[in-house]
Amino acid sequence: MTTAVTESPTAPTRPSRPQLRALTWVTWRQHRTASAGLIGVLLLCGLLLLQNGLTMHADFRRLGLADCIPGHKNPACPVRIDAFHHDLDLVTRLTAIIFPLPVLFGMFLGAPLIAREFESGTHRFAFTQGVGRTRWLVTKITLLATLTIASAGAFATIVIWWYSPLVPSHGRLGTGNLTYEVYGTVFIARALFALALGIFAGALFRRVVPAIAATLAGWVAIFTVTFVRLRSHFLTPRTVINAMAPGSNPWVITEKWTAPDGHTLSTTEISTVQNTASTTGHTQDMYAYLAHQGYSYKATYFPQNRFWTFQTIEAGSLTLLSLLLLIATVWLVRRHAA
Amino acid sequence: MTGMPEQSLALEASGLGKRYGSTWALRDCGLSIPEGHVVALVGPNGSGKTTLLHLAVGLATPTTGRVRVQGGLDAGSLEALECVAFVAQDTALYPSLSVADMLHLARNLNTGFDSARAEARIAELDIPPTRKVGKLSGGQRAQVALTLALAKRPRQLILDEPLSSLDPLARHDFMAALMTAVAEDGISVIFSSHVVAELERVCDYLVVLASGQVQVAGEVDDLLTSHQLYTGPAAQADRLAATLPVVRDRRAEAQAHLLVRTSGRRTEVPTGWETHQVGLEEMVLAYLRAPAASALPGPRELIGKGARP
Repeated sequence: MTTAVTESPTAPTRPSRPQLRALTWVTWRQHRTASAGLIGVLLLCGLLLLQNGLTMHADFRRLGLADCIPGHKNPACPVRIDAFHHDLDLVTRLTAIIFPLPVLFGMFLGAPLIAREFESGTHRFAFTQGVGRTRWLVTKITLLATLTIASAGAFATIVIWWYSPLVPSHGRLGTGNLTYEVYGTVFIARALFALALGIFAGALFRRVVPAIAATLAGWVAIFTVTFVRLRSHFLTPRTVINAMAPGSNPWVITEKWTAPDGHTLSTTEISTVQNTASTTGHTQDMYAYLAHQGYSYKATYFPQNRFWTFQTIEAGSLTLLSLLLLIATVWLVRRHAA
Repeated sequence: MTGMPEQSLALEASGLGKRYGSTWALRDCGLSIPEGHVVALVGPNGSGKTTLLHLAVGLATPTTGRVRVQGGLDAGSLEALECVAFVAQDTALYPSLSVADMLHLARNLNTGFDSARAEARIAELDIPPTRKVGKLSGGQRAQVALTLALAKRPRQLILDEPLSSLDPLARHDFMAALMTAVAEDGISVIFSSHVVAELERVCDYLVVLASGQVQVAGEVDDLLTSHQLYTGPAAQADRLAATLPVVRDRRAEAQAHLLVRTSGRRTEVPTGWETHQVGLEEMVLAYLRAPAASALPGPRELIGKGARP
């Protein structure tokens, strides 16, 4: 009898599993094209920001706009602000261009990760290797998430530099200001969330195109719900009565004018009342003047200094959601039975 | 053979079933295949061959029962994945990777991957390492898949329809390579095939699946000695058929040809009748044509149980 081949499978000295380095190579080899493409797009947009930023920063200094924050008393400001208009237009346009960048991580890096394996049948190879599917998947997810956070983080840094001169004058918070959406930790968390959503959709649908579509739809849906409904409830707003919300660019959530007879003024009534007030020469403190007339005004708002609190709450929630999606993905793939 | 340890099983299934939606791809499947065999798993398309093999490598999870490989390892467990290599149908390699990258990938996904051996085999096969897997011929791709599987130094190799997309020459080369590996490494092999020709030359254990159920399972030698072709007058055929388990009953005018499962026992041949040995292919085809017949040896002592009608 041959006794040479008696190595028991349950022997205590099990060979070590493939090391992280080996799986890093696998991940790099299989995702380098998509990663390179995404980093290329980020670089391109980064160059646009750099180029625009240099011009805009120079114009900002040349025009002395640092003196023209809201509430300024400088008579030269309206002309200067007007001269800066072109730069501001470009800022708005670039904001719109960089806004969807995070979702690309989900569509082109996340969604194909598992979906392509199933679609082309290569999961039959990948899942039957000695490393096992769980370690294969967890390593890939960890590495791609790291790549996503690092590249989105680097890009977010450029955005912060790019927008920096405008922070005192324009702020970063508020429904009318889209800077929040492309800025700081929220930008990074949106990229991570897109990646997680893409990976999860891929494991769920096992087809690349439906996974990409679901990623886009899910990402836009989460953004829209957050923008329209959830975000203003992250914190309790401050209340101001018979005065304008203080500070520069406060994010006003609700406004309510009440007439002397107790009824709430409609938008047209408000403008009529305000017009009347301004023609009678009470432009400096209209709120106090109208309060004297028996009107009352109540507003809730967030000051600009709550910006990072909002970013932290939103980025934290998205990160938590991403983690849950990734855990669900591992569970799906582990229990998968083709 | 005294003192020989209890023979370990390459594949062990009990009550194994797999349902997709409302359809059972495999049902109540029981198998005990000892190590050291080259097992052919045959059956028509849709008979559950791929399902059985996927269950054996953990690509599918059983709806009922369980399946273990290589001496009791749970199918799909890390221990099993380490010592069982799988070659999927149509190879399932990454078409956009070069052969060299594919090798490197497999090396990084397995411990104890024998790169030198794999590279030597690729060179021997004259496959350019820089060529993309997707650009290889079917035969080359199958050889690369086999190379990767063998470089894992597995104790068991499971192949799903390795021959189906190959031309006759490539088929011959592939089987030659596989048989060399079996001889050199002494590994157990299970391969599925819907081609029943030439099985005798390559396999020594046969499993026939039909409609998701195991119809025949046993060592080829045993199966061949336990089946006889009875030829005699058609007039007496009914009487004979009533006493013997007939797998196939073919009558032509005055003559009847009965393929009988004799279970290896010496049976009295009635006067006027002749018996012949049957070939494996003929026997397999007879079973495939008669889905109700079965020959399941199961544990050895049960051999002799007649075929169910």
